[in-house]
Amino acid sequence: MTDPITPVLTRRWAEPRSWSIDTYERTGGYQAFRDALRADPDELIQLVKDSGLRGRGGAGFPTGMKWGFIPQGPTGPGAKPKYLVINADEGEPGTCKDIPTMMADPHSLIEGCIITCYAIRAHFCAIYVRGEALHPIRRLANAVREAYAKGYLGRDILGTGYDVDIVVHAGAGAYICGEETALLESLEGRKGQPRLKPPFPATAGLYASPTVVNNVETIASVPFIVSGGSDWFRLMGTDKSPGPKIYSVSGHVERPGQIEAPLGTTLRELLGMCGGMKDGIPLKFWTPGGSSTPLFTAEHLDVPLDFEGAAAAGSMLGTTAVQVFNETVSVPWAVMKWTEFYKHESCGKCTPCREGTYWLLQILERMLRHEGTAVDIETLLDVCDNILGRAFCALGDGATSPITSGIQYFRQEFLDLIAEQPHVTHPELLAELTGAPA
Amino acid sequence: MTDPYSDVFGEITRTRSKEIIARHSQPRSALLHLVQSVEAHVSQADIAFCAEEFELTTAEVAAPATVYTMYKRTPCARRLVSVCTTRYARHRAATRSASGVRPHPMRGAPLTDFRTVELELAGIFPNLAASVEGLSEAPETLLGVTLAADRGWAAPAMPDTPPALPEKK
Repeated sequence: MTDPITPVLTRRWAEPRSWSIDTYERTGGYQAFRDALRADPDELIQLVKDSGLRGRGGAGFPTGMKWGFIPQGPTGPGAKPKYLVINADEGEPGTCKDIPTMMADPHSLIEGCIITCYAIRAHFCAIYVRGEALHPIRRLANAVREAYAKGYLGRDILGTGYDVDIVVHAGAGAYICGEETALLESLEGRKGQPRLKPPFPATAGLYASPTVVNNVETIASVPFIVSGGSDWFRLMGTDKSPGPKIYSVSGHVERPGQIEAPLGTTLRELLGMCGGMKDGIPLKFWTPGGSSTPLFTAEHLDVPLDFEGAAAAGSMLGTTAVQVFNETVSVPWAVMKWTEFYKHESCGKCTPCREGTYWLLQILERMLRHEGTAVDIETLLDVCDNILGRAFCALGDGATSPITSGIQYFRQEFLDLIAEQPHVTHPELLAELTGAPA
Repeated sequence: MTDPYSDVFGEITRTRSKEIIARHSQPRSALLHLVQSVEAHVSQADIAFCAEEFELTTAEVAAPATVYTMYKRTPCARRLVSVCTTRYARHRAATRSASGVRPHPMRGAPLTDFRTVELELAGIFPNLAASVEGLSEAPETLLGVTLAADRGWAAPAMPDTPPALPEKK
């Protein structure tokens, strides 16, 4: 049985000047890559497969399998240059794990990048960081400089004959660039809009070459897996969701913050670590992994927060951004605010998402302006049905999550809001309001 | 002394743009943060400059320049303040200011002006050795680490030497 909190990625965060290469090396850093660069790249891929590491950016795709998709060999697609792109565009509402990682321990990401590049046989890595995160960008840029100065990056690293370069690239404030193909478009200097898939980045990613796109937390885990081995990694978490995970707990709790615990930790356990609900006001609803993951309620306090557990209970693990709301918060209002975000961030490339989020927001705003109508709930669900699974990327799907789950668990609250509304008692105004003949 | 930021398309900006282009594996990546550091917004002249550097049409540059929130279409003042407006941040800020609680010490470096920020986002750091310093964390960031230290909790110990790598299956 492991301890309730298992600091691995966060273990250096409290060290003085934790971000410097001196601290990193003093605490065991830059050892794993020495072993890795002497190994067969395929063995490293096998190690990551055996560890069961799954993508920490939200989707939970098995990391070793993703690396294994990169075509290798002297001819055909394997002959093209390969790239590693780090998705550091952390922007999912409530999520705060990659930014503190880059702020406090940028070298663990850099070391992970070197090992990953070597494993997939890439010689160039770009770290795409959210543009608003200036200080983490400075920390990464400094870490890259320090690593070059020590000969850990650049030509003939440690005399192994292996070359790799890392560039830190600042985004410019677009949530959609967290979607991997939109990120690639942005990195290439275009508008950040998702690409049609297939082809997937593994065959045609950055500059139409084979590319691995991985999240910061995923790649920062790699040096630890190399040092500890897959059996060690699997001591934490569950069989299908092994390892530790940084849960970002925010909202109405006494002590919000980052907690790195084994996957499968429950909200009840996290609340215990956070000192319980703020001022003792009871829990009403919460997100397990950011606003794009369907809401949970007090019924779900004991759902294991791993990929399988969250899905079995009707939501998704997402980014483990646990946002906690107490009884004072109106669900329709919270849902409207989230929808405002999705409408603003919809890139406009596909119609279901562009038009859908636009109309969803107007219906919700109207409801909250006391002008709702009895058909609004059905209209919302119908619009969501036309977005989910029909949008170009997951942004559209995510936009429907708060609405459909909000209505699923709190339908009466929407109905009560509508029933209070003056126009419902004046049905003669309905046609005018809905813009349709009665 | 000349202002290092107002040299519109003079020597400094041209040298910096070459430096940024050289860092990327193919020379088509955003120089927009760099040009924004010059005029505190992305002007038509900036778009033309980027197009020339990359041998693109102005339309190909104007597309990204007008789609991202952080690229400004009218000049910004000396400083740009962005405020988080999420429901919870708003609620907490209101509670804090009503109860007179002062905010945490600032994380990161002292605030700097908009054009220097844009220069840093472009990948040109006027004084990285100094600007990289500063606090990393708020008490919230260290919640888990502190609790674990207080209660004697830790991740399982790693083996003393890294285990042998598995063979490819």
